[in-house]
Amino acid sequence: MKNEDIHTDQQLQGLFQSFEPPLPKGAWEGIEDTMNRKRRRRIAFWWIAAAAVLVGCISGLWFDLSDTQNTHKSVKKQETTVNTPADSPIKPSENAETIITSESHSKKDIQTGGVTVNQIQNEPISNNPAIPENYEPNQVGLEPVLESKPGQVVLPHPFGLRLTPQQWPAVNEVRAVKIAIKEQQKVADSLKANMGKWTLSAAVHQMQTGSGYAVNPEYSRYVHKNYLSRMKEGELNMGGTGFAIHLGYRMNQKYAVTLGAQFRQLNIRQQFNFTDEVPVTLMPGNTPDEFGNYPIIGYFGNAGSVTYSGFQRNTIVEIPLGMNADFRITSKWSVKPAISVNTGFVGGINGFTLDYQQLQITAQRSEWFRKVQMSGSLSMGAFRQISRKMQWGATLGGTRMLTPAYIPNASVRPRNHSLGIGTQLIWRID
Amino acid sequence: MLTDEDIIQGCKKGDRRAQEALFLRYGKKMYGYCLRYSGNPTDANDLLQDGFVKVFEFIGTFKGDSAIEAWMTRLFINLAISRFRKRSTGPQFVEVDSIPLAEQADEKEEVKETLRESVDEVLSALAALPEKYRLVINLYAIDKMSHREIAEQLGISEGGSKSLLSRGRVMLKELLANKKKR
Repeated sequence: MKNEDIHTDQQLQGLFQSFEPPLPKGAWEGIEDTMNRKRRRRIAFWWIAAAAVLVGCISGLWFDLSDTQNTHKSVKKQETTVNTPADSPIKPSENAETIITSESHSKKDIQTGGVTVNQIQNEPISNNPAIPENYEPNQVGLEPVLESKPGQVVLPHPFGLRLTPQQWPAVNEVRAVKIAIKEQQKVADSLKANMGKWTLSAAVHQMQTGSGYAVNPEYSRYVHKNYLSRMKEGELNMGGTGFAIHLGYRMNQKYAVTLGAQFRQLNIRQQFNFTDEVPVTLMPGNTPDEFGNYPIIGYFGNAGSVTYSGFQRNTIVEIPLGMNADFRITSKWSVKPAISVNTGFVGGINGFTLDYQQLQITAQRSEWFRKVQMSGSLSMGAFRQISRKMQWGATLGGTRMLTPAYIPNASVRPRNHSLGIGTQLIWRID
Repeated sequence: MLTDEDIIQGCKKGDRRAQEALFLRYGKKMYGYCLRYSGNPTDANDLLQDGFVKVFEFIGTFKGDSAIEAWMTRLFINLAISRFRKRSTGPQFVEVDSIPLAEQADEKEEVKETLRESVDEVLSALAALPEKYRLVINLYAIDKMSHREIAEQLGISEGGSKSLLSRGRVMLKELLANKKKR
C-alpha cells in the first residue's frame, strides 16, 4: 500500500475517532417501541403455541374417545354374532340379520360377488365358476363340512349361513377386526399390568401471576393512600417459567404420591409515571413496621415525578409434596388431577419496585421476603401413553401462596396466586 | 454514577433504565458509525434503533472479554454489512473495473489538504459514494478490518475488496477535491 494511502487512512481514522454526532430526536422512543412490540409478539406467540397444544390435546382426546366408543359398539355386535369355526361351536339359531346390521359389515359385504344369502345357502359348489377345481377349503384353516350334500361345500359359520369360498373374505375380514380388537385389548391390559410403582416426571410450565397487592389491615396507616392504585396502574404484565421434576410412588392403580423439586419464577414488568403527594409520618409514640416506616398522619405538597420502567424477577425453589390420580379414559389417554403443598425457598430477588409509603422507586431487597414460603398447587392434565414406559401430557393449574410472601408484620402483602399451563413427561422407572 | 458493569448487568436482566443508560452512554458513538455506514440520517437512525434492539436482545451473550463499546461496534458494523448484503445483488461487485481511475495522480497535494476538512464534509463525501465503496472504505480505512475479513463478510474475493478500496479512495478524493474547489 502506498504511503499516501496509509496517510489518508490515518487521517480518516483520526477524524472519526471521537466523532459523536448528536442523537436524532425520538431514537430512544423508537427503540422502546420496537422492543415493546417484539415482546408483545413473543408473548402472543407463546400463548398461541400453548393454546394450540392444549386444543390439540383436547381434540385428540375427543377423537380418541369417539373412535373407541364406535369400536366398542362394533365389537359388541360382532361378538354376539361372529364365532370363528376354530374358536367355538356354531350357533345355528343366530341369523344373518345380526351381522347385516353391524357397523363394520353391511349386507353388501356378505353379498360379495353379487350372491344373496339365500343363494349362498343353496348354491352347489360345482355351479360356481370362481372356485378352482382343485380347491381344498382346509387350506385356509376352515372345517369344510357340517351338513354337506353331494356336490356342495358347506362351511361352518356362526350365523347359520352356509358360505361358499367367495364369501370367505367377508368372514375373514370380520375375524381380522376381531383379532385386532383383541390385540388392542391385550395392549391396554399389558399397559395396566406394566404400570410400575415408581415414576419420574419432568415438567415445564408458564405461569401468569395474579396482579395486585393487599394492605395489611393492622398497618393500613403506614401505607400511602394512593399506593394500591399506583401499583395497579404501573404493573403491566406478569409471567414466569417453571421447571419441575417429581418422583412418584403408586399406591394403587389410581393414586400416587409425589415428591419433587421445582424452580419457579415470578416476572413482573412495571412502568410508573406519576406525581403524587408527599406523606408526613409521625415517629414519637409510634412503632415502626417491619420495613422501618412510621404511620402516615397527613400529606402535603407534590413530590417530584416518578418515572420508571423495569423488570422484576423473583426466583423460588420449591419442594412439592403431593398426590395425583390417574383416570384412564382409553387405553392411551388418561386424565390426571394433581394436588401438592410446596415448601419454597426464595432465591434471587432482582429489580425495583414502588416504596409503599414514599411512592418512590426502590430496589427490591431479599430481607423483605420470608425465607421459607408455603404454597399450594392444583392442576389437571390430559396425558397420552406415548410408549410402554412414557406418558406425555398438557396441564392446566394454579398455585396459591399459603403464607404471605413478605416477612410477618409487613404493611403490604404482594400477589399471592398464579395460573398457568404446562407440559409434562412421565417415565415409569421400575 | 453507574459503571459499565452495572449497566450491562441491568441490561441482561431486561431493566429498561439500564438499557436507556447504555443508549445514552454509547448512542452518540454508535450513531457516528451509523452515519458513516448509512450515508444519510434517516437510514442511520434506522440502523441505530435496530442496532440497539439487537444489542439488548443479545447482551446476554456478552461475556465481558472485551470492552462493551468494542462489542457494540462490532455488532453495529455486522448489522450494516448484513443490511448491505440484503440490499445488494451479486453483479454489483463485478462492475469494479468500470470505474475510471484517470485523474488520481494529479491531485495528491489537493487531497492531503481536503482531508483536513471537517468531519461533516468527509461524511457528506462518503455519503455521496456508491454504497459498496463507502462500505469498504469504512471497513478498511477507518475500522481497520483486513481485506481477508472484508472479503469473508461481503462474500467477495480479497482482490475484489482491494479493487473496491482503491476505486473508492479515488472517488472519495475526487469528491473532496470538488468540494474544495467550490
